[in-house]
Amino acid sequence: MFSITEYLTHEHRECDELYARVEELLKKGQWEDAKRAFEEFKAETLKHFQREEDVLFPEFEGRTGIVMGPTQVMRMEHAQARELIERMERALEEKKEKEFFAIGDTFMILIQQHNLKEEQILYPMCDQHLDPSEIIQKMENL
Amino acid sequence: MRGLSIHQAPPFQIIALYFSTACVFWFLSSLLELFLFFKRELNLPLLVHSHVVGFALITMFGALFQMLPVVAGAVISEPLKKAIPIYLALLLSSLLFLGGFLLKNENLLLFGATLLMLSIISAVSLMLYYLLPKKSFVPAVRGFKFSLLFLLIATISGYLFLTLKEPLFFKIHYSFILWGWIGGLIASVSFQVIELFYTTPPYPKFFAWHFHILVSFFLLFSLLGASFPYRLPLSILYIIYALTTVYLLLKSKRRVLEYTPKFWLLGMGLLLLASIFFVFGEFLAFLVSFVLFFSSIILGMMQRIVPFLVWFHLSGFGLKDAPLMFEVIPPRRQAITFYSFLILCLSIPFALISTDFLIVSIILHLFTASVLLFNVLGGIGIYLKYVRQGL
Repeated sequence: MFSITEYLTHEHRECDELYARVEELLKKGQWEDAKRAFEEFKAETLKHFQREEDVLFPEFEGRTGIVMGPTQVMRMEHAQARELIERMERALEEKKEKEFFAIGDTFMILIQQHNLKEEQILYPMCDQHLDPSEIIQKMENL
Repeated sequence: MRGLSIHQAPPFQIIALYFSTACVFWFLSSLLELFLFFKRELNLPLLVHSHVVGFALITMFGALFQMLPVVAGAVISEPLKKAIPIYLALLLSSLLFLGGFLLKNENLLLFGATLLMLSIISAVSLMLYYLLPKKSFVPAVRGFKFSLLFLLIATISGYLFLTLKEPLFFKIHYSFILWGWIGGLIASVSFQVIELFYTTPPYPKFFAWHFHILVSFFLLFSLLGASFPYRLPLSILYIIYALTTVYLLLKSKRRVLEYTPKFWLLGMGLLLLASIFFVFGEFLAFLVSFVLFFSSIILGMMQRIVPFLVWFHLSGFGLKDAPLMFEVIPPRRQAITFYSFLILCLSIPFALISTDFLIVSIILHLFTASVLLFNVLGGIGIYLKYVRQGL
């Protein structure tokens, strides 16, 4: 039985690994493989955001009544991350390696400080107020 | 939606103020070195404190204002109203304190030390007030709590040494400030950032969770005697920490273009040297290596934190195409600070052998500090330019 913290933290680490793979392939000059790896990374990351925005955040807000708190900040950071993902994708398509790394660098710091806040603050609060098995099931059903 | 992030995150002004001041202090330290070189005078207390207080302490307080809400969930309410008075108190007291060492004026030194102690106690109390009620979900948070307590002990013991001249207080002071506060805080940060930012395996759980407890025990043990075996456990602990960090960084899955991992690797090499010199009682060599160790980590981290926060805040204000980190401090400018600092480190052994060579190290310090100042102030300038233009 996973807690929400464990389940979603595991997803964070998976996304990190997928992103690192893209960088590795790009450094080797394997552009086509890098594009495929990027697609996988993008799909997993956006899925993770969707699980939070469609299930976790509304459930948390509904239960606690905290609407303009941490969940709003997380949504805003998701929007910032989505924009950077789009820009990384464009850089990949145009084979602009330096630009990709420049955007990716900012993306990684954004996402890591975002993950920290979720893992240290939001997820433990969710575990405290929600039923983890029910929430995880709902997120998996998406 | 637009201002939310800014309300939740500490204002950029705090980091900008603390970091730019710390950079100015580091630059002034190099000028002091130059001045003392031409006077043929080794004023070690002045030089050490200009690095430890002016550069490290002010940087670390600025960084903690930023990290406490993000890492520990300890949100300091109305942070500007608290951070600015503390900043002003730290700045004034540091200048008076360093002035006391420079002018060898006992009264000025004591006055500055009193003010500095009160400033530090205020800052530590404020941070612990918000931090202590928070549960430590990760080793970093526990590490922050320990490090702040070590700083408190170091500050009070330093003051007692100054007033009572009792050598034991001197030993407590430098041990707790270097190994406890600076070493402990850097270790706390690394437990959090190395794995996440560079996609490395995590630090061994037991080691990270118990590191600061072990530091406490070994610090106290080192105070019990003056001979080699008393210093050994503390030294071994930090050697294990440094080697583990190097191992993890070498296992990083990321292929980054920026230089922060290199600063960490260099810093860990210097920490290894400091630990070895410490255990063999080579005090001057230990001090120099330790100062270079924390300078390396600060140089790396500062040049990451400033560009990220510039982008983060401007982007949070809704600025489309806010300048990315690489546009705020380009890796080539970060590289200049890395290589000049590396050459500075390599020049030190020659400077210790021949004092004439010291001028080379001092000029390298002056150069590195100038580039760092340019990079950090340039980054802050980019932020201000957009804000003044109304984004």
